[in-house]
Amino acid sequence: MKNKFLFAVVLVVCLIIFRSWFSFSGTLSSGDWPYFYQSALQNFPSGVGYYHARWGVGETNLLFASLETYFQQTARVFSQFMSWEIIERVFWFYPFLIFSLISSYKFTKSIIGALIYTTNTYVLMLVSGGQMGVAMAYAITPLVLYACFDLISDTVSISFFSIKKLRFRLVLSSFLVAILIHFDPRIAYISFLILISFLIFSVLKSHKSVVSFLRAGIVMSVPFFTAFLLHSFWLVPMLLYGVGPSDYGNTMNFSRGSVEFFSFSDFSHSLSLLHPNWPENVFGKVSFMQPEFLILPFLAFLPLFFLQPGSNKTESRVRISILFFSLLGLAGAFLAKGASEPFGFVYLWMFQYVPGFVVFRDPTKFYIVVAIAYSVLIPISLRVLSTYISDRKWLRLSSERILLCVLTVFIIIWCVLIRESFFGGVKGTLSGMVVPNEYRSFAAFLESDTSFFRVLWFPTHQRFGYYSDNHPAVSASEYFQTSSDDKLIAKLSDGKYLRQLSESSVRYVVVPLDSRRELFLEDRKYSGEKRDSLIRRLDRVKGLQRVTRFSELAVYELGGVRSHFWLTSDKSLRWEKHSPTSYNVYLDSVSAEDTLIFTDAYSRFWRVSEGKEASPTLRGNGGLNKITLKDGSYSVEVYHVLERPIAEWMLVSGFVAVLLLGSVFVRYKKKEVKD
Amino acid sequence: MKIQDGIFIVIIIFFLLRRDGRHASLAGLLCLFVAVPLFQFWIFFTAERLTWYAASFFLLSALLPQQLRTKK
Repeated sequence: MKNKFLFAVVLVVCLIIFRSWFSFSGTLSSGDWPYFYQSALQNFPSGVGYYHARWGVGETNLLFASLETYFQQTARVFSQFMSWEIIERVFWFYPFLIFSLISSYKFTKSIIGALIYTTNTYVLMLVSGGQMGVAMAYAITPLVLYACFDLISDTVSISFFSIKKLRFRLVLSSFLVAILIHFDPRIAYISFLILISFLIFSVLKSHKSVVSFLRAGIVMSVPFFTAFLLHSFWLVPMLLYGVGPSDYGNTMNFSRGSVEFFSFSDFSHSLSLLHPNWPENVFGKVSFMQPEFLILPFLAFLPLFFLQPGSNKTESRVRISILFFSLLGLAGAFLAKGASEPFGFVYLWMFQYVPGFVVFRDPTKFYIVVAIAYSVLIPISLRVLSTYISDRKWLRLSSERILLCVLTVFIIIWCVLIRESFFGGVKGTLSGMVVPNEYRSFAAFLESDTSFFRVLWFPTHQRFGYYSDNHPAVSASEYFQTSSDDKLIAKLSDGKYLRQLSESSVRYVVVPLDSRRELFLEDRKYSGEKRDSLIRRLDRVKGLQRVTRFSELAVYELGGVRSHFWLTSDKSLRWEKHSPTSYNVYLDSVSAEDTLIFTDAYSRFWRVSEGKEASPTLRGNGGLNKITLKDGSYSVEVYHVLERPIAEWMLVSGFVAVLLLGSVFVRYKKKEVKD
Repeated sequence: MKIQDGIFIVIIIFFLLRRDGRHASLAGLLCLFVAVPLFQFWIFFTAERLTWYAASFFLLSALLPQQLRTKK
């Protein structure tokens, strides 16, 4: 009865917070969460999504190849009979909510734990900011920890010869770890650190020998190794070709300075599980500490005061939980503040020297550790409190009723803490939006032209601006690497840069309509004047012809636009696209003085081959790929060098997946026979 | 080093020498309790430090659990 009531209350709280997801009134696109038109979805490439042709001048992103593949393939397949508004909800937002509730409930064994984990300020900012890959990983993490913690506890306490009994759970853990890596390898890394800590802690606490530690370590490495094999299709090529930060554009993004910049949270915020951007979620705008949130660490660490040695096994387990999760919460709060004081140098040192830590330039990822710790500790604390109250003789209430009262009071306090999410104070994906008609008309206009060209969004792309593999979107501020409007206008006014743009296949320059009021900001507030002034200045730029059919969007056409492949001698050629990473170019009577230009960004991964021999492309003007030619008529193949190893290692991944699924099937069949 | 840092160091050394995890956690809870009005009245420097001290007391308390056993 008590559980049903609490379950209903928590469900209602979640439904109110995430109400826009169930209303189907427009898309949830906001922050990092994109919007795609139906035709763009249907034209998503099949295969592994390690190369983004639809953005900028093309970029390789192996680290999120698995996630991108899921994103592309679900969207591509289901776009035949679903709109993006439904696809995003069915494959991302609903699974997040369901998984987060179930997995945190399973892990904490508490409805309150599930509430804390699913609706704290960190995850609400994560979801409202549209970081759905991280959010999905966040949702699954407790389930992974649940499976692996159990595995560790059992391995520490059983003999070596009994380990084979854990076979099925090893398979299950492997799948869960693989899913976690799939959605976000960084969260998988954090989970790995938590598991290592738990392993060391449980061995120390149970006073077991080094042998049991090693045994547990070996057993624990099995799910991670199997998950590695399942992800070998992108992990092995990444290791083989040494794909690292330098392949992701600006290496400054992975410098010490960037960590210091991204360390928005101070210690009081992280200890209080209060996201520094709560509730507006404006990048870089850190809100003042809200002291009412200090009730969370107060409750979380309260059990330390009441901590007593356990007389039985259950009490001992609770004691170990309190100690471990208290230390975990403190470590998480310390790391989540990044380079901020106190001892900010520790994070900077780890960023530079701890292997793999380079991916945590945004330290707020460690809020997940605090969320996990508090969603375990606070329910324990509430139980401790209710026991303490029921021990008072003057209260004539049953202990169960007191517990229910304590839990209800906590839910009310929790709702007060996150009150902004109830009253529309948290925007982003928590409020739906209809695509403006002007953007739809512009999308139809672009779709009607099947030739390849790019669109430069000035100063940056707006989420409803159409983009696809055939008409990629380029953000002017990214392309010219400046966010100053004056500098951007100066670049466009320079004939040299206009020529560079047309040589990079840019056909249109567009000043977006800022329907989400997120681009033209002055002092973090929307400024229509800023946009109007930009349009007035662009109207005066020579070489840009205004397309008059659009009134709200300012669209300009550039002359002399080049195709995806072109020759410096202006001779015509024919090219064929097999995939965004593989092309055939047919050359007719070309001379050795000619140069072939491929208008995707130069990277060390592009190869050109004529017959058997392949050679890398060269860096040309404007950072494009330059290919030297010889006399004659012939065809060349231009391809991404990672394509083949990825395809080969995909076989290994597939084989391991089949093997694991087979073992699950065999077990299921055996169980059926037994029954 | 501010005066509050000095007081904190003296107290934490006292708990450390006495190996008293229980009262260390109580000190941590008190620090958080005192930090609330300070944050409310925008006395951020001391309030922020109190959260650091609270975390240090909790850390000490979690690392000294064996003392609780002997006390019982």
